[in-house]
Amino acid sequence: MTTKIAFTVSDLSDVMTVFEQSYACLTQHTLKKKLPQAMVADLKMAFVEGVANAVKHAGEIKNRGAVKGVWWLSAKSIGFEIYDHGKGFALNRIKPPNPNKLSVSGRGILLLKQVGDGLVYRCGKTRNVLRFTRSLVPHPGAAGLELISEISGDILRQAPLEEIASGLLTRVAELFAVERASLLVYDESLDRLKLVAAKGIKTDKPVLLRPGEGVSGYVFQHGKSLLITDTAKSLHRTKGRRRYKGRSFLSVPLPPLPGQADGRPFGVINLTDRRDGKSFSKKDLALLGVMAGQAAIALYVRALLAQAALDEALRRDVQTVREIQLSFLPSTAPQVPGWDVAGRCEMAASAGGDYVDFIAKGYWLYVVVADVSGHNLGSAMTMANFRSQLRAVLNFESEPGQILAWLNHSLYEDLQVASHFVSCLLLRIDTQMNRVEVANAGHYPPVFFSGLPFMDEAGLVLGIEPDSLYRVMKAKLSVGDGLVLFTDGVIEAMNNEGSIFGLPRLISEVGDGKKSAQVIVDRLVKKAMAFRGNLRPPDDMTVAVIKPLA
Amino acid sequence: MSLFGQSNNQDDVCIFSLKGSLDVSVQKALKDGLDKLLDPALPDLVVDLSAVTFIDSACLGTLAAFLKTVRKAGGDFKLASLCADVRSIFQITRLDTVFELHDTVHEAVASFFK
Repeated sequence: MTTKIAFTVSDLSDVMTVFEQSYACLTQHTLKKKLPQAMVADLKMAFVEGVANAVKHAGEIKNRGAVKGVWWLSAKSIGFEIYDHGKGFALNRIKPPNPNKLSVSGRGILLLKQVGDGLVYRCGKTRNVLRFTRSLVPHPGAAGLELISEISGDILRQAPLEEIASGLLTRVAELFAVERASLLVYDESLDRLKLVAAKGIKTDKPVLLRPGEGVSGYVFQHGKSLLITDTAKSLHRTKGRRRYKGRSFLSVPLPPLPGQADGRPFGVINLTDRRDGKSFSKKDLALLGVMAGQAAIALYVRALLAQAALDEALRRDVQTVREIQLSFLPSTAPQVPGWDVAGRCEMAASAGGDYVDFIAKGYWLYVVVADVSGHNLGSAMTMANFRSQLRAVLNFESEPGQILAWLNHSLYEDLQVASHFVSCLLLRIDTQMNRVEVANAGHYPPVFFSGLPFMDEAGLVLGIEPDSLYRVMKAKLSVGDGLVLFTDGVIEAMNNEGSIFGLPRLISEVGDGKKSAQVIVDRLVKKAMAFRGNLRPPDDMTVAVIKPLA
Repeated sequence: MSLFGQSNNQDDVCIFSLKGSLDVSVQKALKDGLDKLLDPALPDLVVDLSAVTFIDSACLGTLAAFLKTVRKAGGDFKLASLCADVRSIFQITRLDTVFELHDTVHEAVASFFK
């Protein structure tokens, strides 16, 4: 049914009053719910512009004493017609004014077009008609966007999935004026559709549906929407008959989320039992489809936020691991009578796999430099394991080769499981006799200050064979001489031209070795880091220097 | 009902307010009032639109023409405290790209000294 009301504006100063009166008269008995404030503002704007157009361009008040027209209101739209008797104009030839020109006029038609859903101007023999229409049916896209803006608060505060889904469903149910609605989300671990929100449906226990089971399962499995205009006729095939008392049913899949490789829907949304008892239409199906898309986006954003929160927790965990790891490393050079020793480890990532340590046992000083393959959290855990095992073995074994054999044996299984291996250099220094013994598990040998490598016989890296053996090589260091220990991150540091830092550069940076061990260590790390380009991911860098003072 | 509220000067900026419905019926009064307010010696102005409930294309045109005059005189004319409906009209007509719109009068005045 359409309600119509005629209006007359005989003075431009009355235009607002005429609007208020016509609008009140038109809507007070016919509209159950007030129109939104913004829509009323738009209608007012359109009316003022329409009347002004007739006055300015057709001279209606001057020539005919008043502007006349009619307001109408139907279930689907509201609008007005304004009549004029001027020359008329072609609506589509009027271009929107350039805002920068700051012209006085020309914005009326632009405003009329923008705030309405239809604007027609017809030139007739007796009179011209300007017809303005504003739809009362929400635009599908607009409804979807409104939905998103309404639930964005819930999403941003990372409310639980059930709460967001329930908010979503309540709004969808309101929009479609239905008694019953449900939202199901696919749970991969259960391979079931799980009911996460329901309206008008009593559930004592969790509702789980197999893909393919019932209407929702059918829609989910086929990824296609379903519009049933008469459930009594259609539902026997899906065994869903008993669940729905209404005659019409709407079921729409929530579109797959980005990254869902198999293209499986995210879930299903169902509506039934329209309050007015009517059947759903294809338009309703299209609208629900749009809203389902928006709902999927909303739920996806929530999932992303949840993931971001998890990532943040993980980042904090990694930071904790790093702090623990750094606490393992010698922060200051150990004090050993008659010796000057220093070590430093620069981790490339937040958690690394390099390790350097000095352990004094009586007049023996053990120096260890190790490199766990990779530099991720797993490497860091392996390194921590290596460190505690080493300390344990040192309690009952003192010979470097035996220590490495024990370490390899005890770490072998763990390293196999973690797919890691460890290269390691273990030195035992007799600090009184200045004798050095070296056992090597697949690591770069130490280098004398003179540039000569320590003649050793490297065994296998730890974690390859359960019963590897490690030979021990010996040397005596005199004052003025010393050894440099390092990991591959130093010597293999590559610049952007493809050159590596290399042994000759390392030796030349050591110089005559007269500087303190700490100075030499710092200098080497600094030089290697400066040398390194940015084409390859950086590796950890570890350097240790030992030299006798007497 | 008067269209113009009180006006005063602050740091050589003329601040005034408008109220009610700025529609075609008050267009002439608006134009005359604005012309009176413009002092070519102190051509910086801020208008408080918090009490304006409506504005149509006729009055938009008047404000646009006034902005042009003010800028010719070497000043600027800034708008403050627009309600959502009025602000949306500036957006539809894209006049928000030529007028400076500020949330508060204080902010609008301060923007002259940046």
